[in-house]
Amino acid sequence: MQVSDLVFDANRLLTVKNLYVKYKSYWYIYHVLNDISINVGLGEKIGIIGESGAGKTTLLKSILQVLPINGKITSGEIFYRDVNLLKCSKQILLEIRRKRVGMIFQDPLAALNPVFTIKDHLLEVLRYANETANIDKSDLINIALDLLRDTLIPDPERILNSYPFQLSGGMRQRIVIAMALASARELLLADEPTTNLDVTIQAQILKLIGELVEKRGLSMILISHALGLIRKMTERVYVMYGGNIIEEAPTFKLFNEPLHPYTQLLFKTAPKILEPLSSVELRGNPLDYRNLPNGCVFHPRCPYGDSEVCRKVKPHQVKVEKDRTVYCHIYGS
Amino acid sequence: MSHTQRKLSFILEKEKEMKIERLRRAWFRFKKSKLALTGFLLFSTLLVMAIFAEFVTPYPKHAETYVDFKARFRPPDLNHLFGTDHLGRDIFTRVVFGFRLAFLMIGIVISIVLPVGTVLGLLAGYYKGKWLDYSIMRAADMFVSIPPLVLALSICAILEPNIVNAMIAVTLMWWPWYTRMVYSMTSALRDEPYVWAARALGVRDINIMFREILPNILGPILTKATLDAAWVILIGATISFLGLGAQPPTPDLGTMISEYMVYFPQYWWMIIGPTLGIAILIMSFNLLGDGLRDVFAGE
Amino acid sequence: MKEPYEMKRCDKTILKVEHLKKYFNTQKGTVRAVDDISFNVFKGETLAIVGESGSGKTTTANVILGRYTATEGSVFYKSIEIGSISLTMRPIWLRREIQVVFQDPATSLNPKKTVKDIIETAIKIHYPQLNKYERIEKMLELLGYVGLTEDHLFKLPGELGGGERQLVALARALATNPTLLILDEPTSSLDVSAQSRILVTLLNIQKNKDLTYILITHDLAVVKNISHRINVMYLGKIVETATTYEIFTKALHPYTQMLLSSIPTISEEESKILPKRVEPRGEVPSAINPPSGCRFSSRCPFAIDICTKREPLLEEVITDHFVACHLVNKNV
Repeated sequence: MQVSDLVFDANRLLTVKNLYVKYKSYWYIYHVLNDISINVGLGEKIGIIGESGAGKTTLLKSILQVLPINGKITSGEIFYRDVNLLKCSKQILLEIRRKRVGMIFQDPLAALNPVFTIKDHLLEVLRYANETANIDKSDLINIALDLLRDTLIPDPERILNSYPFQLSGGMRQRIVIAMALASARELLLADEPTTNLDVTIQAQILKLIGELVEKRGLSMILISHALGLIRKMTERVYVMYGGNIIEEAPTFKLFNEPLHPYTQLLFKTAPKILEPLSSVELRGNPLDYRNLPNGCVFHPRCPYGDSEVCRKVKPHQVKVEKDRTVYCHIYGS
Repeated sequence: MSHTQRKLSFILEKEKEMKIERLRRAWFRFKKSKLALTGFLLFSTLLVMAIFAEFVTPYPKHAETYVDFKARFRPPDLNHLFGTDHLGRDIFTRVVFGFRLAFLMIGIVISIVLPVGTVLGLLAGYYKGKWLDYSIMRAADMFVSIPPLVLALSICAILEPNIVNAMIAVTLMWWPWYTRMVYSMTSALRDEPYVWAARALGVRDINIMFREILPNILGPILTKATLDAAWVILIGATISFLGLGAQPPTPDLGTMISEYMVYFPQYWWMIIGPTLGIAILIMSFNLLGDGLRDVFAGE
Repeated sequence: MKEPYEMKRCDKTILKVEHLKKYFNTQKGTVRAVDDISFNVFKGETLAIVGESGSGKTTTANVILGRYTATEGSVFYKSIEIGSISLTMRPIWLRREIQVVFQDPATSLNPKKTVKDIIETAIKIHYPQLNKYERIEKMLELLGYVGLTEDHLFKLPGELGGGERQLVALARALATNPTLLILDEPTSSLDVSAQSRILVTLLNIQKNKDLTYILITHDLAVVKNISHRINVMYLGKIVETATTYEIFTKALHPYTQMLLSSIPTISEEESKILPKRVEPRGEVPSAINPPSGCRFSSRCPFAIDICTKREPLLEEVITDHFVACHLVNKNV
């Protein structure tokens, strides 16, 4: 079976609808994703902002269905083109993972197996990505070299035969990007691709990802808690808090005027170069995923969250503008 | 009492509550695991039986020297759960007294090995690379390099073969394993930022070892102690079985097996009792150890 | 933008680092983590040491703290040489005066001790005369400084959020009433909202207690917000020293400019004020055999002949603005 390339709406390459994900530990159930709906169009660059623990990585993992063993998708739908990933056969899922979607992981050292060379890593990915094409090994190596050149790795022939620990953090991250690109023909998922890197390396890696995505016409989902990075790289942004999407907007609009109180706080507290520091002390306790608050998830910490409706009713989607959505009661009435 | 003082004593009061609360939670975690609970119940039953052996056994006199030729070689029945031996003694009674001896041995060995091994390991690990480390760890290596049974046998052979010397032998061969484990954990933790923070505050080395590092490795230490207790029983039984530990008529499980082996297979039931006793004892310790591991991992 | 450094300038020096070198011998060769640096720290200021990983900023801090002893050169704290004394050899009063807040509060707080036990350890050592009630009073006072309450007292570090943990680490450092506080990447492992809380707390405490901070970081946005002066380090050398204002408006060294250009900005106005001249490229070379001449020459887009031949010296170009670059220094 094959995923159809034709029958689909260009605005909906990937659609996640009302997704719920739970993690079970020995004692508790953690409600990690609650009613998440996102949509990625062809060639669109999406950003997801949120603090650590907001469920961003879980969302990406559930799209590829690589959740840890104690994680479970309890309800919802994930459509890739016209295929429902939660119901399709294993074969199609593999095809999508191998040939269409690539993922860049957060920690490049953990994503590379220390006992294999870079060549082994790349060839493995490429072999799967070109399964049906019947390409022999020397061609695959050429493709691998091209990928390394694309990621601006100096002296690719030498790098190909080295082991991950022989390379610097920046180089490793480039290798991980090359691997992701090998299988990402349509969609690139990037999970905090620069978090562990130095600023100057960060800037280089980001520029590289940006250029490659542009050149290959990929769609992208970029996860980060660094606001500046999202601003630079994406067209549209989802803001996540407590396993919920709380705001969606085109990037420049969000950065000009964040609407949801949480997003406002996030922007206000981000260390800035121009303005002096401002700290807003959130009231209440950090979110407990074992029992999420009723009503709006943010209400116990929200400066406007004291009203009856915030405490009791989960906010619905409010279309503020044609392309802006916010989940907050302030904008509801 | 002034207002502030009342507030302060309220805080101290609260601290006690929190400590109890933490214990309660640890017990809750322990309870959650069926196997651990089984181990614990088994362990405590055996312990109670061993302590009150005179009262729970049908023929407490049969434990040591007692002869009743009329009753010898009786197969198991309701009066004699495991049958009787070649001198007409009730084997069940002897096995329960055997538990007492086993627990005594474990208790004594652990109460020597645990503190000594831990302290030596802490010292060696904390002063890694110094002469203290070398002297302690090379001594440990020496003891480890001798095959355990050979060491035990030679100690018991040189000294008089009795239960005390068997304990000495087990203690001598066991401490290096402890010290090695504590050593490796300590030397990993001694460069943790919190240890450096303590040094920057001026905490003395001895306090860093016992107040900062020890609480973090206590879990694995206790777990290992419990799991190793099974091993102590086994090695003790082996020594006794070879005739170098407790001597008959002492109701030691290993001694009993070696004593009754002679009558196998005609009077096969005689060795069933002590063997079963060892097996149950070991199982209870293993289950308990697994449970403890879960408790400490759950934190 | 203000220039806080101006007011502080005439104040007295509390820490003086002179020709400090710290080499590590490894199997591959000698790593020159810190290679001949000199700087002063004035009382009541925040001096930031900025650079990428491998620049030697953390090593510098560790020598001041006493985790390592200097290979060569000296560190004077209030005119006492401390660079050659390791932490465990330092007298208690010295340990009290120099305190540290580490990068990751998850590892800098003992996971098995409650907040009370953690802070109490510090109080017991430095105020042995207090009884248990007075100790609790002192603890509450410390928690108050950093904006925590008595509810946090009996929690384990694992039960606190990242920001709160870092505040506990700060409270512990403050327990000894230090003069100099070394902040080793205090915010880099925290979320955005927690970051600003820590920074604001740090600013307030400095104001109230006249503390001196040495801030080790790679995050220039953080530096901008709380530091008075900046040392930019590259591969064991200081390449530029100036006030924060100067660095952000008139950075002279190409490396500083590169660092500034790589900040991901969150608004158009921010991008405008930063120099956009230097596109980041390359990676920090190994400190075992650094490039000859200027160490930055291998990555510098403006490198000329002399750069690979002669090592530039740190020279005052404008008042209080020191740069080590052949292109900037006039005598080339």
